[in-house]
Amino acid sequence: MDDLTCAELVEQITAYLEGVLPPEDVARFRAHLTSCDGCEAYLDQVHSMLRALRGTPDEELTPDTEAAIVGAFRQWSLGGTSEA
Amino acid sequence: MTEDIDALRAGDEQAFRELVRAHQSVLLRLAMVYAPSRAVAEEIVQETWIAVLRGVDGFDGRASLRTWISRILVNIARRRAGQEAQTIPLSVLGGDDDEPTIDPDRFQSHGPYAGHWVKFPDDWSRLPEDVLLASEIRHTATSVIEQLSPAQRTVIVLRDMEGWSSAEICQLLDITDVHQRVLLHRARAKVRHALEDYLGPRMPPEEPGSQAREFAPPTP
Repeated sequence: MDDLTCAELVEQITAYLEGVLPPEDVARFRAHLTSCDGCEAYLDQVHSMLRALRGTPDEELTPDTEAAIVGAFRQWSLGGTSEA
Repeated sequence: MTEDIDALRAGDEQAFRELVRAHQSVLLRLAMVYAPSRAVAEEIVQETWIAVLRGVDGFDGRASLRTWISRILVNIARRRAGQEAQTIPLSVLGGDDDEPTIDPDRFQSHGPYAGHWVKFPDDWSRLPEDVLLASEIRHTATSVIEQLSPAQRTVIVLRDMEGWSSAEICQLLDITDVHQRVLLHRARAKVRHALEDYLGPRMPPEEPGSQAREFAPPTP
């Protein structure tokens, strides 16, 4: 049943992680993984990469931009039409 | 979400500020896909909120609020990119490429192990923990992401940095689930590859006598 090659596994990895691989393909994927240290290492690399991306700090507006946006809101809520 | 919109319509400034802060990261990252500089990205976000206020009565709740706001931003950013085309490397979303997601030379081309690794990928669990957590890793990842096509970049930013669902991303970009996943797959493969290049020279040497990590060449 384990007729998946490493080259095929790496192409299925996103579908596997996204949970859209059909059940029979998931079984083949996992069977290959348990017997292949190389693919296990590859999957582990992808997990490490995803952790790094998720750990990237949020971007923040400069105080000037935020103040300008809030200023536009004030004009808008007063019914002004000059900006908003 | 509906409460956010109701507060906004009622002129609740505190609620509006919170809304702006809640969405600042994703909007800036999306704007940066198209903007030639951080300053222009900030302008695009500002323009987006003005457009949101003007159009708030048209929000019908069919899309999530963040999808709706993001769609407004993408339209503004694309329009500006068209206007400032000389400073923009790519003006259309398009952008599938034909590159393989992983170099075919990494796999054996023939023999009993055809399709299997020539050399196993590095086992990053052997790295000292602080290497993987260091900000250099994130810098390496984000600088590759900046070079991706707008479509690949948008998908990986939303899915893997901002935690959007794939359904929301498809709705924002008006693409199919399959197309979205192809973009994500290619983007992730490139980022992983860049991290591998960065981390390779930092791998501790294999301990002597440890299990060989290469397949033996097929015997004739």
